[in-house]
Amino acid sequence: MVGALVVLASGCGGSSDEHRTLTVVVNAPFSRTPYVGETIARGAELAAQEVRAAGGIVTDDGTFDLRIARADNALSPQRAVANVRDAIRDHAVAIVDEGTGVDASWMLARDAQVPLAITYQGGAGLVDPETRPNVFRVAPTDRGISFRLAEYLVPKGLRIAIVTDDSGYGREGKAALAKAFGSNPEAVALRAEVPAGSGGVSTAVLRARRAGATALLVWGQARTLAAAITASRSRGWQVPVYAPPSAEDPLLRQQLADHPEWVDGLTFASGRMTAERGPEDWMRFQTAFENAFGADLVGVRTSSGAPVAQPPDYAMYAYDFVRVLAAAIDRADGVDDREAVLRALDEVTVRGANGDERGFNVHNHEGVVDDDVYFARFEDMTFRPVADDALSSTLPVIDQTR
Amino acid sequence: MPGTTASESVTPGRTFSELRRALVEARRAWSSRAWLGTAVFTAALLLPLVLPRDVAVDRLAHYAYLAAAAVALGLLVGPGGMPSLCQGVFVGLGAVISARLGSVPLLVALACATAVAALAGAAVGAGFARLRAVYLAVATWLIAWGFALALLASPRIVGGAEGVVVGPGRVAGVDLTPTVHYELGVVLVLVAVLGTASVRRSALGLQLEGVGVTPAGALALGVPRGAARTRAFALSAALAGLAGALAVHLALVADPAAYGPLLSFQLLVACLVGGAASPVGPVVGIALVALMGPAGEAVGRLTGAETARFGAMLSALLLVAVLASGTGGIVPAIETRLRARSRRAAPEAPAERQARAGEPLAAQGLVKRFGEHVALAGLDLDLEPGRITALVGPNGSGKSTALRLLSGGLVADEGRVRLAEHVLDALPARERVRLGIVRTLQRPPAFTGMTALDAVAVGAAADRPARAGRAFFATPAARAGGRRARADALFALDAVGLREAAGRRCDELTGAERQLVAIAAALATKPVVLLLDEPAAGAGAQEVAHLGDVLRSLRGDGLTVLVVEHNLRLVHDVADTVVVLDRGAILARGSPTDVADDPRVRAAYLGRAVPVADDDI
Repeated sequence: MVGALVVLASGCGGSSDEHRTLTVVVNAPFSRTPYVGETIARGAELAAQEVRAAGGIVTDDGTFDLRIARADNALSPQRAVANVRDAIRDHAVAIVDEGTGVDASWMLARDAQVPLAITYQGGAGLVDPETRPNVFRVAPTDRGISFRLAEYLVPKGLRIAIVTDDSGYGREGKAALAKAFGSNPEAVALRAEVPAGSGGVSTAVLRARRAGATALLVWGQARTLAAAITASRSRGWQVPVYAPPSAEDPLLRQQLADHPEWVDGLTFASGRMTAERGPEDWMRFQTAFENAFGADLVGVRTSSGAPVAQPPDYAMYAYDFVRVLAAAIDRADGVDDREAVLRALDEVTVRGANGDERGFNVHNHEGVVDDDVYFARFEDMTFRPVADDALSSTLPVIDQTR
Repeated sequence: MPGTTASESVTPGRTFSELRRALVEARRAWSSRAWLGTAVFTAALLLPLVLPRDVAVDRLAHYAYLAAAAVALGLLVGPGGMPSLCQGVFVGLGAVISARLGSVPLLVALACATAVAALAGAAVGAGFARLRAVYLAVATWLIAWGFALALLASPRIVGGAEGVVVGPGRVAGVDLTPTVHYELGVVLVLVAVLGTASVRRSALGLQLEGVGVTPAGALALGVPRGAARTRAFALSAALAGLAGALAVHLALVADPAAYGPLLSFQLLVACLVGGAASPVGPVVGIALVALMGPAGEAVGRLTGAETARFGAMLSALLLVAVLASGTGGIVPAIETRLRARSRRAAPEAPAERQARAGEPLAAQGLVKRFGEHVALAGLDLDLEPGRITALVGPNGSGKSTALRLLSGGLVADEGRVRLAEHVLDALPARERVRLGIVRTLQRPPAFTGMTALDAVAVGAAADRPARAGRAFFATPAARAGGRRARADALFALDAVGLREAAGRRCDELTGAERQLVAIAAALATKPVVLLLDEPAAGAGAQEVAHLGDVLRSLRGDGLTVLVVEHNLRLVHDVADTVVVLDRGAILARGSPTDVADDPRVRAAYLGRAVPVADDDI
């Protein structure tokens, strides 16, 4: 009887001693690109676990724990929008989003005063503090990646064939590359858009070869990238291939596992894992991540037979946002005033997983600065920073075997 | 009033009388089923008021729009017998057009989307109207794939994988919130159900059903298969396009991946599970399909497997179970049980009979060859009004060929056919039916699933105006068309002595009764010449006697009747003139007694010239 009363009492009322659980929804393509979905969700879950372990977010309105709920958008904007609707209906305190469908869903989140944080896609139009005050991003921007790619490739005197796919990720990349290479049109041998996945990629690669390209820059999903590498290498075309962060997706290495030599040399741009402070913070985060979920094994081995593990670099972004959110809830003294939480997100800063400062302000909702983009090259199914780029050459190699 | 024309001055009065007539009809037709429908509709409209806050009204609205598209598809699948697998294309077309026209007023965008979808539907209908069901399914499935690939290949139009983002929409100062969308969806479902029910009752519905269940029989009655199916496709596509155009403002994005072949398949599954024979069936089907998602998730959670696949798997299992039951879907199964409990009384006796007087039909020198084989070698026939001519002869003598040449089913190689002053040489069958020459088939059309009254009404509706829009909105002309078709059908059933069977399903009738239904359907076209192909086939002595009475009655009405028959007792009893064919040529002609006495006839039938009694031949 007493127990029942305690349960009832804990379920209603609003005393400051209340311990409530707030839901953060991860809206990501769990079924279509599991790596992206899992890495975002696990990063967010690790942060939520740490909040719980620290006794929750203690405010005048009570103590709050965070719970992570997963919603599969299957890379469909329509489903992504429906997921955001569901999240709002479930009183989610925030949405951690891969980026699909945000152009349509951000308005729903805005009307409900729910912050929406993109932790994968870097499209330029997705984030704008003026028009989309509830949209944040903790991920490298396409602008930063594309300008760094141009900066890196143009001096090499390459004739680049730019192949993009028609996914949201690919189309945003296409727009960013158009601007980045706009002042160096002579560096571009061909531009081609292909359907996301493998369809039509072979034709585009063949056209690139005929157009005299000396490098392929493929911006699309991992499947598109794998198809482009297969199309070039299977025809004996040893052209250097460059890519955005989707090259990290384990799916690519899994698809090319029968030809590990085809992966060698694939160079991609991404946000750096370690900060100026050194690799210690990152290593601490990676250890905590692997303790919580185990190593994210890619499913391939090095030539010496060692299993390859994927570093949780994109998990870091979701992790960082959830920690910023927790700080904002703390600053807003609870979640009853959603507008206050949104305001607080523009005011707080936390130390990120790799030691970098993470935070936003009213003029900038980007959590990763463009200067943090580095280049890595695959070798023996793992990647390491390149030596021919000033920033990348200073970064430590992160061990990826287990 | 200056400037007012006579027609304008009578319009208000006419409108009033039509409204009053509609009200009277509605009041007469109002039944417990109508009360139930009204209650369900009202409850559906009020549902958002009583739903807990955590129930997804937007999902309900989404399924309401899908239900409207499925109801529209039900018109094709049910009476039309066309298992279209491209309904999702029209939904997608409406959605994409509405999204691309985001800058124009929503009502204009909706109108454009509906019109384009209707045109696309008409094109598909015109292209595939003649296909049999299985080929039509394959062809429309390919269209669904083609559309999906076209969307994929047109990122500039459909925004690539990210689709085209649209606003929530606003009509007449009202924001289209999910709740408003839900109400709109429910209203659209109601309009679709009532509209398609009205079509089913109309002349167009009778034509569709006739072509759907018995193509050969309907064509013999002069039903315009291509036109009827094209109109049905256009109407169905228009509704689906409108549903898609509205739904995209709920989804806030026209997502090309959402309009793939799977959507078309889902809509067809809903039709088949719920039952396309009833306008309400697809709504029930969509409700079940909607429940499969959560059910699949529950199964997935129990088994710890990937949940996304279980919903589709459960839908497939449900479909298999319904198909295996052979009930034609859930709603028709329930309706059949209810009907069995309260069998409808036969319709009231016809008030008056409207028949056309017969006209003379003459054939001169008809020749038909099939390769080397000469089926008819110069047939001359003179059929007079008010007389029955019997065409007899052994198998392969050319009787049915003669009948097909007269009815327009075949074109003669030589010779001429005249109906009074009309020369019919190159006139196709449908045109000859319009002139009044109608033929029954050797094997009576099954008209499976239709009542005798509706089967006969197919003949009455064959030549009636069948505008899809008028039928959908149940205009006075459309309602009158359906009413008159059934009234004519009742006259025809009365003429063959089957009025009591008007409410019975054709598949419950005996073979002889089905023959009489076929004759009644031919009579319902108001013919001047009736061509009957073995009407006594399979009939017992009593039934043959009744058939004889019917034929004599038709002769009494002044019809011109030609009967091809093997039952020589019937021929002897009813024929005024008997023409005996052998190997494509006339062997004998005369009264039944004269012909029976002709030794050449006996030789042709029995292989030798021996004297026999009349009854033996």
